[in-house]
Amino acid sequence: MKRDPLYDFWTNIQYAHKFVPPLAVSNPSRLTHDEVMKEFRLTPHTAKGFRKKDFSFLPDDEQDKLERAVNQVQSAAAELAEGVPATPEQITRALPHFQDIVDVLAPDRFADPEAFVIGKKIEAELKAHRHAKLDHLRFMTGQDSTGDPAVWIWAYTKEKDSGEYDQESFFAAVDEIDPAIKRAAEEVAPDRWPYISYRSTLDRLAYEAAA
Amino acid sequence: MSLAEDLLDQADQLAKLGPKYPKQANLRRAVSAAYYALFHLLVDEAARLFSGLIGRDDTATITRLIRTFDHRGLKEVSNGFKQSRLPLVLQLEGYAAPDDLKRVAEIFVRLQEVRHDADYDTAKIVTREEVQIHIRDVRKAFVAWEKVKATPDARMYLACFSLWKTWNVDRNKQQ
Repeated sequence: MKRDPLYDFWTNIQYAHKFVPPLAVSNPSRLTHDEVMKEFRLTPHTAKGFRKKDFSFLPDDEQDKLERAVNQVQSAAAELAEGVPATPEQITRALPHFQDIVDVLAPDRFADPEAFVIGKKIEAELKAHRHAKLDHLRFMTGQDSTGDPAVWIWAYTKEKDSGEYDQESFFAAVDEIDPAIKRAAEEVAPDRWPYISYRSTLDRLAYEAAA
Repeated sequence: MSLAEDLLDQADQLAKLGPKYPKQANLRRAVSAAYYALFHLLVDEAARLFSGLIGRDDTATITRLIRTFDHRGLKEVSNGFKQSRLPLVLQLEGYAAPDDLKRVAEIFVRLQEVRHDADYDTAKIVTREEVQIHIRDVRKAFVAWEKVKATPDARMYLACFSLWKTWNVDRNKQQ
């Protein structure tokens, strides 16, 4: 099977941080800078496998930001010997650049490299329409329960700036956003069935932890 | 009320349990009940279509016919209608998928997957508002079905639950 061109780079970045897979998260909050700092581990392989051409679908500024950050992290990683832990100074030097990589790749929103490619393209389609009630999206690809290629999309709504969740506003927000997401998913990934779920950023209910 | 309507009401009731601390078990069963509401609506209609041809609409015949339909088969048919990818033979005879039928088909496929996740994927947390959307979508599917069910296209959709593989032979060869 042909390996996704982003796979090696993606895996090395994931290894440098224990990212929470988006599918297990019911909490709408995003990965924070502190969380990245706490979990970061620098190894000789961190940021290895990067090829700028694999990210040509990103806007130019994001491509440049990613390339700059990768170069910095790679130069810090190049100083390390295999099996020897990085010093606090080396980690401190690489960390802000690693944070920049995380900002672009957002692995708390994109569960796998293909989800990143598809998700970014879908977001680009949606951006033109400026959906005020859409807070953010999370993506995962794979095969569905009957083996068909699929993309799972979790859309987090912000039906109001603050206050209590109410069903009517939530439904109205979903009705406003849903056709655009479906259309974008069909255009970007026509060979994958889109499974779209909606969650509200105002949901404050306590849910049991996942298994 | 029919089994399909009862199941949809049950989904609604389960989703409302525990106003502040909804239990995963209730939310998961709510998703499952919502899916089965739509499943039973469709297979009951399909069984009645075939029993009409046979000329017997007794419970035993209907039940026997319902047991011939399977989830995967319904998904394949629904996928085809949702994407307007009907078997060539049906297209040539002028069958199509009007919007209401596409809506039913799309919601069916989505709910089937969501039901599978709710029943087997314990790593995913099911939230109440997600469940409410699924239940509302099944209600929309019920309404759409009511509008379209008497049309030849909808009756062909039901017939395809049993005949899709035979009629879709050209597409099968291509794959």
